[in-house]
Amino acid sequence: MGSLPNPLQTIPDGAVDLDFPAPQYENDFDTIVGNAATDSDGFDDLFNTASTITTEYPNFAAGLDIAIDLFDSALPGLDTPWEQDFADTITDAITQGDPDFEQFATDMTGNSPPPAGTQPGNPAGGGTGGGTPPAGAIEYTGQVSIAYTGAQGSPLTMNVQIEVDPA
Amino acid sequence: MSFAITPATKTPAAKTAAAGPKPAVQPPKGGGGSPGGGNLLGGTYTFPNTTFGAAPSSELFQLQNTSSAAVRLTSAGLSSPTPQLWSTDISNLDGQLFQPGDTATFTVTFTPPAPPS
Repeated sequence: MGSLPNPLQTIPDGAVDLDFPAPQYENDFDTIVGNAATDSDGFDDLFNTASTITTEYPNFAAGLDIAIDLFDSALPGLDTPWEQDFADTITDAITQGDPDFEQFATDMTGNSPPPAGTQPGNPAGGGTGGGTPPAGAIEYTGQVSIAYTGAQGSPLTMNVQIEVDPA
Repeated sequence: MSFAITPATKTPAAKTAAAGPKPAVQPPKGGGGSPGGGNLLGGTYTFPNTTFGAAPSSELFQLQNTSSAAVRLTSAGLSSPTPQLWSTDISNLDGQLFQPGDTATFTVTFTPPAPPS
């Protein structure tokens, strides 16, 4: 392990080159991309457009179309056939799934019970109330409790429920 | 797990939910309809739909000691926000000793209220 001179000495002028080196990465970028992404070609506009459209989903797909069209203009030959498929798939998924999410939110907030036919254990289409309860129907519930000794375990419960419909 | 409850007879409309390692109550045998016929303890049994003013609906359940040790039932009952509509004879089993495999049955009855005016 070395030791510092004592007393410390000042660094002579010019001993350290504090000038920034040439921005080599800029040179590399120009070499690879050429002048397609310079200000004069509207790169800033392209970037700003892409940034703006990603801030809000509903505009995303439409905005992506615009951005890619612009990229196509700046970089001729850049084909993007996947983009429309992507947008179509996302749109279809949201369209199909949205009603389920809406119903889930409604059920979770207690604004309406799940249809009897969708509750655990209820035989689907069993003729005893699958589907949405009719207007005026009321569900009644109870709970059977059993306490015991001689084995480990907490008191046991079984829920019972029944839907009463208007005649 | 010391008991199991399963439907014991009658209507084919039982439905089960989560069963745990406990005694099991099972809906009436012979009725069928209970998918898998699983233990109703910790779950829910749904009576067939009825209508206001209709005749009472009853379901028979079988309680079985599914553990390897004797178990004594110390108390049992039914609670509900509408207790006047529900009844059960399960309290008849209070104090009963269940040897491993022993079974007993009890009934739960729902009496539909009159149509809302």
